[in-house]
Amino acid sequence: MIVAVAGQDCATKLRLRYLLPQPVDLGFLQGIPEGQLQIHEFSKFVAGALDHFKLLVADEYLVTGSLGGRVLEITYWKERDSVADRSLRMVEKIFEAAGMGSVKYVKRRSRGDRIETGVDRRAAADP
Amino acid sequence: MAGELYKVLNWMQANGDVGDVDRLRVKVLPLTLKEKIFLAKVTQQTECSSDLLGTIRDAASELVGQPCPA
Amino acid sequence: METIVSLPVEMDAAHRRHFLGGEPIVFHCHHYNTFLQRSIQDAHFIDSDPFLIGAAAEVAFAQLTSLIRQEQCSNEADRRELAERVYSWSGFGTLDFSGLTVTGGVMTTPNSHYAAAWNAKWGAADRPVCLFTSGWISGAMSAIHDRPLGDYHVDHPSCLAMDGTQRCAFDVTATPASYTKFEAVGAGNLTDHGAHPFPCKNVDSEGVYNAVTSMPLVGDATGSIPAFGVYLTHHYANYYNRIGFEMLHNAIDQFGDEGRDVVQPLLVEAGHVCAFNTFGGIMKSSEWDALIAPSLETPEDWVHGIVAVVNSLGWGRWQATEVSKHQATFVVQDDYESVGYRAMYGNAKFPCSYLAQGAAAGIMNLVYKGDIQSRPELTPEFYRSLFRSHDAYAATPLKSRAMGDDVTSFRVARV
Repeated sequence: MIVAVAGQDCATKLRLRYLLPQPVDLGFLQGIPEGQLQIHEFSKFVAGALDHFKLLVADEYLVTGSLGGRVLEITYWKERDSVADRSLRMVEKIFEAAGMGSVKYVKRRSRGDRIETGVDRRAAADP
Repeated sequence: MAGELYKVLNWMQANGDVGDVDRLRVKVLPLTLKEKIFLAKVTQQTECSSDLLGTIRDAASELVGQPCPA
Repeated sequence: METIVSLPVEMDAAHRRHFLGGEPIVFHCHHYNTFLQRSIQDAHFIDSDPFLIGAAAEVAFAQLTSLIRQEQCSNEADRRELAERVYSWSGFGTLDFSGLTVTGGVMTTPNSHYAAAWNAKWGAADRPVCLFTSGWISGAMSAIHDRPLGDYHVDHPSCLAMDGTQRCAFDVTATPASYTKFEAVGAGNLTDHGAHPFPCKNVDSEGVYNAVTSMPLVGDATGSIPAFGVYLTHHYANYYNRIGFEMLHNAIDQFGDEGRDVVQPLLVEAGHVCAFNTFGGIMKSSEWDALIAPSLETPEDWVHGIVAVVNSLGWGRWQATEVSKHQATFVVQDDYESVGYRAMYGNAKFPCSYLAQGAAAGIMNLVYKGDIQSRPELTPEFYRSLFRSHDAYAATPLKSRAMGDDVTSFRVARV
């Protein structure tokens, strides 16, 4: 199952943070239809850093996250109030097709929780 | 009018955004200086004319977005 | 998300400064841009339009004149295209110069950073807000047509920031402009310096600088740079310097020390706003999670981590030389405010790195008071809770490069 927490981008756009049951890999991203993928190879610059990706599905949403991480952040391109169910369903289908299960939408965690990157940072630092 | 100006500023601190009092200071600076009043140093004993008090109250209401009580 | 990348940006890693066409450029977000402009316009006793427009004309004219020479753009069409590219790349929106001739004309655009930002932050405006763009167009027209600065007057009759308006409009005429004409100062004098040591083993500052500056943070097809939850701009350091310092000088000329005392907090507050939104956005971003978060262990590491990113913004070389939850010391070399002040006006009589002062305090408030590590929403309520309370961190200047010191530095502690 995937847990999705709502936030906002620039106060106008809906941003959901999805915690996935398995790490994101290149194959998963390349399977997203009509996505334009950009990889930032941070691991080349900083030891222990993860490579970052940005995947744009034009006029629909922007997906960002770390390769090997379990968090996907999706900013829906339309204004917050007009994000169609269609866009959310489209993303849910992508997760289902990748065998990650259904999405459970929850309110954001209270302050004081730590960031969950879904990756053991020490493990990530060791090749 | 002693104490009235002090009350307006306190009301702003309690009800306005961060920096609203600073915005008020810059908006009414020429008027306050005419009466040799420094808004950063207002105390309960500070006195000002009723005209100035009215102007400051109006400006405070506009900045905070709700009427400043008399 | 088509990007426009082919511009000869000079990354001066030794000074942590960036230049395009000889003009120092810095990243800033829409919150800072609109907050600063509104603060200046709040001072009704100052006639600010002439310098808000004139400062933009100054930097656009200097930059484009230099770029036209550098890129060998001999014909008008190439020069117009270059101007449009610089404007969009910078994140200011889009401009189309094709309808303008040497005598002027009317230009409209559906994309404006200042208008969209104003609307998002303050709601509908009651007057046109794109003063920066008005000045920029005037300066660009002079550069395109080999005319002196100030030869083009630009009216801005309608603005996207106002209710019911679909496009910003600019009427350009080849008549003397009414704005203040300033002489561009370019990079100013930078120091020969080495980095100050800072007590952190978990942040690879050099690696972070190289990684962040390798990212294509440039305008898309609509001339926007949406990143870290804000809209970024590659803005002109000397635009910020000019408008902030002109406001300050005007207030001092009219009201002496009280004028200064009233203006300074507004400029520092703009720094708080910048830190809260941009740094807060960065520390919550997926880029942060990938690049920096994996190596962070303590709150102090978070301070050093965001300082490493600040070094990539073109603001100068930042270091936190001492950090604890009680206090911190920030040392900044070649901070753009000081360098700009000295180049524009000579040595300052008082510290005037207001953006840096507010930003340093903002970092401490975000990490130690706001627990940014827990990813709070960056709402107005949260801002109030951080900066209004009596135990908020505030920065006190220790040294000022603008006054002739070797560096600019601040001590940050709870009030």
